Amino acid sequence: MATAHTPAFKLKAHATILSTFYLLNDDINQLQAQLHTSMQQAPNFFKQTPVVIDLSHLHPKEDQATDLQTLCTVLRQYGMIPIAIQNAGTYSETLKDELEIALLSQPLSSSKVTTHTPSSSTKIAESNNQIITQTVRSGQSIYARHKDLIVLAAVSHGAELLADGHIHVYGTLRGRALAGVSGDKQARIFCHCLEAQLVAIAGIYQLNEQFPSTLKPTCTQIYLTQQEYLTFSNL
Amino acid sequence: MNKRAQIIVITSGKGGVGKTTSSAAISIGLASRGYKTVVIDFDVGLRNLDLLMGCERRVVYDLINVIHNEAKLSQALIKDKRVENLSILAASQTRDKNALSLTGVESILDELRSKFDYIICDSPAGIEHGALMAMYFADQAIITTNPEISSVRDSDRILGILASKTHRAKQELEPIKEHLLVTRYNPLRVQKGEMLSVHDVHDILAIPLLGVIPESQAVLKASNSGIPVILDEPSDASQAYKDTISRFLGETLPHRFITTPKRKLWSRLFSTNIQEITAG
Repeated sequence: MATAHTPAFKLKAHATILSTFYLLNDDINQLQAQLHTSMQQAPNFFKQTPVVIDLSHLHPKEDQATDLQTLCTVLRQYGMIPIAIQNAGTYSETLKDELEIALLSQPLSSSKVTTHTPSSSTKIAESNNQIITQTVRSGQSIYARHKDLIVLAAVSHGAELLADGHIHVYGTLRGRALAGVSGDKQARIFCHCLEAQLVAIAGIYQLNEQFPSTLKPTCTQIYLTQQEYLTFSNL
Repeated sequence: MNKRAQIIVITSGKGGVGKTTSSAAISIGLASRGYKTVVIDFDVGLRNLDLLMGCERRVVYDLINVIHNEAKLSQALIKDKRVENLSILAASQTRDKNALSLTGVESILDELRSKFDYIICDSPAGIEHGALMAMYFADQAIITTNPEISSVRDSDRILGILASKTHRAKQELEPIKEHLLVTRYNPLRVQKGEMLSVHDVHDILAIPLLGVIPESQAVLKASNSGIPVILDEPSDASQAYKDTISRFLGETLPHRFITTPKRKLWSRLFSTNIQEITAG
């Protein structure tokens, strides 16, 4: 009797973060090779990972059905669980029953992100820069987006420099300097005289009082080591 | 009659560093050198300049009255009794700084520009509306700074605003000419490490040093008596302000009052002895 009144289930909408698997070409062998190397670096990386397959980078072809079947098998071999497919083009209707996975009509994440992800890494590598010739005063904040930032004058206390690339200061650096703000761990900070309040590379920061005591306030570079420690060295 | 006055703002960011004292001194200094000068109090709501200039009893109309067309500019300008060529435009005590409008300030400055050589704008403290109104149309800025960290930081902030939010910055004209005026300087305390040295201040702010005014009893006395310190002839502050005016007008003078006075031999010996005795 009790079961008649208490429902057996309920449905609720939740936003869950899912990994999207972008297939960049249809070479299954190349895919397997890449997955193999990733597995060697981190054996449990793909374990029990639900993924959404995205085919927006592929041109739809006649024999895609068989390719996708193989693809799903390969992904499952490496521990991933394909749960849905998106951007599969016009053939998707016939595919979904054979593959037994959901078909997403709207991509989960905006397709703009998909085109930006591969290109953002190349943008950081561009030797682009922004040059500031005057003193950066307190309260001012300068952001060099996708660029290096070069300041030919001093940077006052309370001023802030942000760059996706390196930061060079040819005067005294007294304010804050944050290099690699979009995550580039190769970014470095160079300055003629280090009196900074705070320095950071790819989000890893240190306050002035944490600076190594052996450091001289002269020409200095700051970079991240492999272990992601900020390292200061006089030049 | 084709005069085009230079507008000079005396500003600092921080309060109590000597903006009004310097405004009074510099305007008197320029006027006594023969330049037609007007000094405007932008500290609407507080009104200090007329007290320092000793003309508070002669204020009938003020800056806000002129902006609101309640009085003519000629009615509001107060002629100084001691120095020829000097006029004062007082602030209103009954209004606040929001009564200042950009168009109102611009029209007053335009009218004054044709009649004077120098327009000195005494800025209120802070970086808000009132301070921005005082500096907006400036051609030159005298940054008044005390030799202590918070004052230097605030001055630095003001320099940033001068370079970004003023008329010259927005119209991409030649930038405002900046001058550094260090006030309340006490070489003895610098020596003890209690104050920043002129060198330190100059190093941080990186703008040309116009003058160093020593910390002086004469300044307080002058404020209370309504006789600007520059007129207190023998005082060190008066001499330092006069040097400042000379430098502003293009002369090259060495900076005085920045080192401790040399002590006589006997007093030096005496104090060493005391130290030895107390140390022993």
